[in-house]
Amino acid sequence: MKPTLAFLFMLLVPLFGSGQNIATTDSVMVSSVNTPRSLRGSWVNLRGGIMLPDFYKRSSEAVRLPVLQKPYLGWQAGLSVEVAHSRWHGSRIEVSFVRKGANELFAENGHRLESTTRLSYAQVALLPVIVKARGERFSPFLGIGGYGAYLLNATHQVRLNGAPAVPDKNLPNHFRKLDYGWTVGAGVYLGRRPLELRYESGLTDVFREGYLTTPVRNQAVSLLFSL
Amino acid sequence: MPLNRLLKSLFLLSVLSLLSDCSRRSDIQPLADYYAYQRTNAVTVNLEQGRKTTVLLSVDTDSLRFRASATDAQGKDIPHALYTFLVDGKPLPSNAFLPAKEGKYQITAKLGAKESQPVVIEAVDLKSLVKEIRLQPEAGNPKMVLSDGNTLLRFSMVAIGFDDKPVPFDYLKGLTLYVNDQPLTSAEFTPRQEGTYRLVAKGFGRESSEIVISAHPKAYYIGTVLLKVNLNGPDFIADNLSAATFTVNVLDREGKLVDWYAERDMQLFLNGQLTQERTFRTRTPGVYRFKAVVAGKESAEYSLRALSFSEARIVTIPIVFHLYGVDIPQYKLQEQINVLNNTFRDNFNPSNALKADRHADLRLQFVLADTDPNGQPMAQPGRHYVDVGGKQYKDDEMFTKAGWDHYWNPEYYLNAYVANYIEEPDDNWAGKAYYPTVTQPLVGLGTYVKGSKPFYLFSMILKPLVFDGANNNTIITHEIGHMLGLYHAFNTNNCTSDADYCPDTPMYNRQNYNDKVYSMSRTDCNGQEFSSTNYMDYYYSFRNSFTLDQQTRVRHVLDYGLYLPTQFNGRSGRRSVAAPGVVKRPDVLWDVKPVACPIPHDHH
Repeated sequence: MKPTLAFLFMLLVPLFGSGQNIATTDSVMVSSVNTPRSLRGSWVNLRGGIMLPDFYKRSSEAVRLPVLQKPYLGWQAGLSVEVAHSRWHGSRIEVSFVRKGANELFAENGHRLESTTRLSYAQVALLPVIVKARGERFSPFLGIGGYGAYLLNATHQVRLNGAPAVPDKNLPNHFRKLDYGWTVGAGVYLGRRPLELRYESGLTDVFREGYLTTPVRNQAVSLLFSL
Repeated sequence: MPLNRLLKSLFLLSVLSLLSDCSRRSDIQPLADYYAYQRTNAVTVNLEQGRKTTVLLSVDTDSLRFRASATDAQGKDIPHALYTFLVDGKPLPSNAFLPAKEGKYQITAKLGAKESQPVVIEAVDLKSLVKEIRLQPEAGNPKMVLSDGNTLLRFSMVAIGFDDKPVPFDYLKGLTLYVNDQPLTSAEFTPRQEGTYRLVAKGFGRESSEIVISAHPKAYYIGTVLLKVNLNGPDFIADNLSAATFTVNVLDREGKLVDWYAERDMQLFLNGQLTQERTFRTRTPGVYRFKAVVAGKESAEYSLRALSFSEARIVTIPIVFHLYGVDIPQYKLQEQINVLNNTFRDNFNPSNALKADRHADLRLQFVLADTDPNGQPMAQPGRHYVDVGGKQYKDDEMFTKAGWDHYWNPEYYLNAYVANYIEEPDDNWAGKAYYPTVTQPLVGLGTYVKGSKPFYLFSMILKPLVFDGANNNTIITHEIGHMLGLYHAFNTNNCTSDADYCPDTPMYNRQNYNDKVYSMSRTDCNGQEFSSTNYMDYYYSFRNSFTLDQQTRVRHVLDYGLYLPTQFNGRSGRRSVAAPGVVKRPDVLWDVKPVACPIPHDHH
């Protein structure tokens, strides 16, 4: 993937996190009085959200903006356990059912093929570094981590020139069972409940090795909330 | 709180980055990137059927079209629109390609990353290869061209290269035939007006030498119209059997046969009246005048005299009696000939009885052969004695074996075999004969082609008693009647059909006739009484008549019968002066049975 601005930023955050540890002593001492009580200790949230998942190609130079195409709407739901290590730093682990996939459009010379791929995963995401800022009404935060997912189910549908077509019935057998990737999010705590805009990107191909000449990987933008 | 401010700034920067860092690449991917289409087998490309890989510049104006093919993982054909066609590596806007310059071009098809093996197209400019154009007549006679639209002239146009051979390309589309400077759409030309036409083939910047033709009406080419007549017999008799068939030949001014089909254009005039018939028959004696007209040109007049039957030539048939150990004196043979010459001329009536209503002169006469098969004069005409040492023969032994030892050519002689035959119980036959075979169908007779050798011993066999007594003296007449196509004048045991095919011989049921009554009278199938007069009847009979219907059948056999000494088989009808030998027995005889005739009852 091309080192985009977002990617650069993702690289910078851990560095920033490391720097934060160096400066902890002064900052904690100064800020502890203003840290909301709700963000101390550890707690469990029910969480969920809507997703705009998509595939991207390892060879591609850019990420498709999902909202520019006919989007495939995914979702996720699960539990999260969050631990506040300090007023600036927390961690979170999330266990979710995640529905990813993609709507894709292939067209050439007047022919138009639309495919919909639905992938259901059991996913565990770990955000070891959540950097929090103090706010008067809400506290913004940045988080980074990774995820691992196990494919529970896969379906694939095709329409050729507007009419349903019979897809390769063996195609779902060629999806890789395990997926993993990195994730980054930004949001605010509403009390102990984060409202977060999350981006996650797979680091392994959706299909098994060698199946496609131009492999694809998962990516998703999510709007997540907790109860 | 600078750190807190910094974190807030980073937060905002992150959100903005997530929302804005997605560049707008196209949502539409190439079809070949679709998963199933990434799993295809090898791509192949082919030129459309019927097109050659050589393109003649300025001749082949239709673009070459290519078809690519590959199948996906499930064996389904990939949609053709997915392929990209390349010429020498550069994409074509479609699957069509027409080169504009000489050279070789590699056409490939591509599906995603997969590219086919190339089809090599060679573009050739014939202008640089053709030395001359040759124009030649291919069909039709350019020297005799009709101006009525019925002459199709076809020409061949050949592009000759510098090696003086036709250029090895399909060049015809680049050549055009011009008639009086007007281009034709093909190499065929049909003149529709009288005049002179100049034909030239043009193409590849060259021009053939000129062919000049002149088209005229048919009459222009006709020098002579010949009316040809084919008669089916020696005489044309007004018996509705004799037939004259007319055809026509056309000669040009130089007397050569014109090679177009004149029959189609012939008009035949009979006594000045146009007739559509080409074969003429009549029952009215007289002179008939015929003339043919082709394209306005008349033939000479042909006069045909239709004879009454009484004017018809008398047919003479030589007979030889092969006497197998039977010493019949010469005078008795001559007596039989005399009887025959009376019976077949309607002059025989020893009882002075009433003759048949339609009694007829068959105009046949018989002579004893005076020349043997080697052309040597016979010491006793018609008498051929064979010493068999007192041997007696079984009934049909003569037909199947012994007779073939002395079967004089039947196209020169009527063969009769007289021998002592072994008497069998209830065996009372006096003579046996074969029916003839004809080349033109006649009911009751077999039809065969002319030119074959006899496949059965077409002849008659006789017992010596036929030469003894007045009662038996028409037996040979009766047997010759069979040999000339006549059946018995009665029905064997029914009244269902006319057994002898001659309506003027009363039909009666033989089983109902009681020969014990010694009566000349019969009751016909209609219950009418009549006296038996026909030579072809049995039992008690006056035996003094042939009929007109029998005359008709005999005439047909004389005209079309095989193995008879008639004009149909090349004889003059007069006495044979020489005969080409004997006929050998074929290895296999046809299974043909003769008709056996009993000893007649005395009617005196």
